[in-house]
Amino acid sequence: MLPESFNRDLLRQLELLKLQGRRAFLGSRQGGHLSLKRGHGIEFSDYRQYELGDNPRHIDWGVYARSDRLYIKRFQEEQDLPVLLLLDTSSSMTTPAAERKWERARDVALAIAYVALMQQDSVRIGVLGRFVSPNYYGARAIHQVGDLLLGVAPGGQVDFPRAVRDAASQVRFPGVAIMISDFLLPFDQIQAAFGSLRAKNLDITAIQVLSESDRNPLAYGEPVIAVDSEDGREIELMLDDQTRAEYDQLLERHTARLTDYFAESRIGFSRVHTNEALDAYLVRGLTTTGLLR
Amino acid sequence: MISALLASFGMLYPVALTGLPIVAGALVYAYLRRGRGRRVTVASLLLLAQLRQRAPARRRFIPPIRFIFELLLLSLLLFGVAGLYRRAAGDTVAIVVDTSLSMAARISTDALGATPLQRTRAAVEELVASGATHDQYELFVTSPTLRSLNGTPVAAREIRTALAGVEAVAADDNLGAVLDHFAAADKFDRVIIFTDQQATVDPKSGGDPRISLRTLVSPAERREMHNVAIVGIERTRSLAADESEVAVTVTGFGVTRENVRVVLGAIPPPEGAGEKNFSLEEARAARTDRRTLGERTVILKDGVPEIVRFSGVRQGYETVSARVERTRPEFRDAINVDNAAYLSSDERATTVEVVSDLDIQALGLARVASAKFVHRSVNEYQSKYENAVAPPGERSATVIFHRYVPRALPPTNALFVMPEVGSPLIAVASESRNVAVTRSLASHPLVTYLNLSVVTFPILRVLQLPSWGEALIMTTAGIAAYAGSVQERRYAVFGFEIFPYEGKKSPLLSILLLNSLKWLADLNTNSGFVTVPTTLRNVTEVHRIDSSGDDSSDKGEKIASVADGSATIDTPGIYVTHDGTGLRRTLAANFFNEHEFDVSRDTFVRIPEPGRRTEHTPFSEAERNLAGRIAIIALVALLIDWSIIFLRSVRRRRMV
Repeated sequence: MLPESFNRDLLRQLELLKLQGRRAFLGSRQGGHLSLKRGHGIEFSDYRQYELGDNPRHIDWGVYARSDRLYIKRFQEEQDLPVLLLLDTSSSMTTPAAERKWERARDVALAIAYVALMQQDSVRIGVLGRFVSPNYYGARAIHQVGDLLLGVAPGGQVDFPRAVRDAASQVRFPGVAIMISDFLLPFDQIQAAFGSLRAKNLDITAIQVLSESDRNPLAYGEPVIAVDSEDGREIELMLDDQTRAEYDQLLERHTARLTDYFAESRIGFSRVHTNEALDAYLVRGLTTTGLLR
Repeated sequence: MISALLASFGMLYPVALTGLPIVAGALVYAYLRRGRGRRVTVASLLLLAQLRQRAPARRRFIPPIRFIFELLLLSLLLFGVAGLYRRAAGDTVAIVVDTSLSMAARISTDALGATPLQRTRAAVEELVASGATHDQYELFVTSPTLRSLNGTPVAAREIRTALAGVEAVAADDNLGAVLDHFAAADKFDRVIIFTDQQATVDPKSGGDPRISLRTLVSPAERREMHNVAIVGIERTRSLAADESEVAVTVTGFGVTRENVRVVLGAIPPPEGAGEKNFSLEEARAARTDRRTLGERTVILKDGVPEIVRFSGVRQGYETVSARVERTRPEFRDAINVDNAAYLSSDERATTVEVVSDLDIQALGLARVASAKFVHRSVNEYQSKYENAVAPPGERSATVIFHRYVPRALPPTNALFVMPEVGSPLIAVASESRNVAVTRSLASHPLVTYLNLSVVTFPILRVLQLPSWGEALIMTTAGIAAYAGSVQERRYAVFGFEIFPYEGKKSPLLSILLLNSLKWLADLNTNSGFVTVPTTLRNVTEVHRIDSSGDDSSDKGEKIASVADGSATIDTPGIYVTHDGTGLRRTLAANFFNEHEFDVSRDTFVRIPEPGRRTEHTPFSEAERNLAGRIAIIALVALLIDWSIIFLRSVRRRRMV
């Protein structure tokens, strides 16, 4: 089952998209992506000198005509692309519930999974801190993925680095990893988490989901006791002109730091706001990362 | 004025007020938190926590009106929990007068020859005169049963009026049960008991501090008091001749060697062949007509009973009276009531109802000739008396319940034998086997003259003593038997089996049963007498034609105490009764109680520890229910206030 936002129009648009890794990987099955394995696939890769025992049918006679030397054509094998989707289900993704940050993260993950499954890639869902699903194959598996994600009830506190490390430990073949979170956590935890993924030689993309309240968390000019949705910490504050300006600066700094880090680490990065249309983001926003085309 | 107002309040649990500073502190803390602004949950404090200047400087806490309102309510709640109550102005004092027979004993060394009861009147007068203006008093008498003469605490002057009518009666003092009753009751600030006995207390607990005993006779005075009493009278009939023998047992208390004369007199038989019962006119005439049947002189030593036998009492002289008279004019006999004893020949069998799943034969009661037993099975009893819709009609005056306990005490005298386990009415603590008797209450008519120390009960249901009961037989496992009175009805309970009745084969149990029937059913097992105080049932008129009391004025006249076909008699003597059908009955009534007769020895009664208060707790009286009302009002107001705060916060959260 798929969420209501996955109407026919959206699905048609998704079917036109193609998921691609920015690098080639060793896949385990035949699929639509170029593999590092060299063998007898369709696409020409390279030449090498003829050796006794090679199949004479692969001799490139054109090269022989030009060079009087015998060369064999080499081809790249086309394999499936393992896709790992990691979702942050901590309480920050559900606060405030009305802005539906989690629902947006879920829908983005589902859309990417749909694209991947349609092109015969394997998809695995990691719900951070809870479980990592088995591999799903084939277009029909999208309903299973939909049921899985619709059944997740987000909330609570997640040890982000540990959860990502646990999920990464289950990866057997390098492929694509997409992390979807709001990344409103200390920078060292973000680094530690992505470090685990990088150690697995994955092609990583980070998608940050933000809502309006992340930009404007509090009412202006009212003394409040702000309570952290995950650990329950409290601070007293009042948002006035000065503190408001300071908050904006902090947010900008945090975002810039994220962007710089991802760039340095060759991690694709995209940001989606909850008030942005899903199809528009998928078609325009995600394609800028090179993940979809 | 304020101090007087404050003094008029009391508190049950003042320690609860130590919570006041805690509650106040908690409320201040809650308000300080509330003043910090509303709580808003945000996705993450990651960035907000980095803000350099977050909150304005905290203002000084100025309590709003709501804070004061809530603090007041919480304080009221605490006062309610502390059990605030309004004291009655002045003390409530119970004045308990021992009205047993020994209180009518003349104190020989007293210049006026006063009795302890006369001294009590003076002592009570002095007590109320020295009491506080607002003190209230309730007057009780102990005998024949504990009862209040006022019904409710009254002012001192009303006590004086009630005191004038207090007289000693031929009855036991029941002081043990009386003290236990007041130790358990919380109605009185002080309980003062006027008696001729001495008080003892447990050295560890010290006894209930509210209860005090005023002893009206000193040990030195007691040593000079002497009493001669008839302690028993019995008729034995010879089967061969138409004569009988009357044996009169006489004992001297506090005497050395005292010569006394025992005289047996008879009231001539009524006219009419074979008639044994007097008509009213004959009863009046018999007031002065006496025949002396015999006279004996006997020397009494202290505490040693002497049996004086009068043989050859001719048939016809069925109603006899025995008197013991001093021979020395200077001998001062302390009590007169015990100088006479009576016998009559009322041979009408008393009907005793027996409720048991065993029949009369199996219970051995067919051998008891002096009573007529009517058997009912348990189911029959329940249908007729417990589950019946219509009133059951006339009942026997005495019922024996064997291995069954009804839902409520019956409106008759009753004996319970081996009560069922689990009954709330007659509580059984446990069941034990092969239990030996440790002691028995020798002065009680049920067990008097019985040597129970040799008895072992094969099966004993150990009994829990009710407030109205007096333990009769104690064993290694607990109480084996007790007896007592409730609203002038007598009840006895045996936790051991006394059936089947086997006569001489098991003499102790047989005597125990006969004593019980005699005590409960006025059973004339020996053509004898009833024991006062007792209630005569199914009578329309009662006349006294002889008595040993000093009040001889009403002899032969009606005793104006017949109510609903019952009359209570409390003076030894000869009574003539009529029932509605014209049936006449001549009854002898006696009181034999060596505990009351022996006025020469100090007797002691223990003041119990404060019992678990079961009556008249402060919250049982409307005027002291202040604490409950305060607590409820405060709690309701607080709940409404906090509900409003909660609903407002929910609404705010929804808006966020």
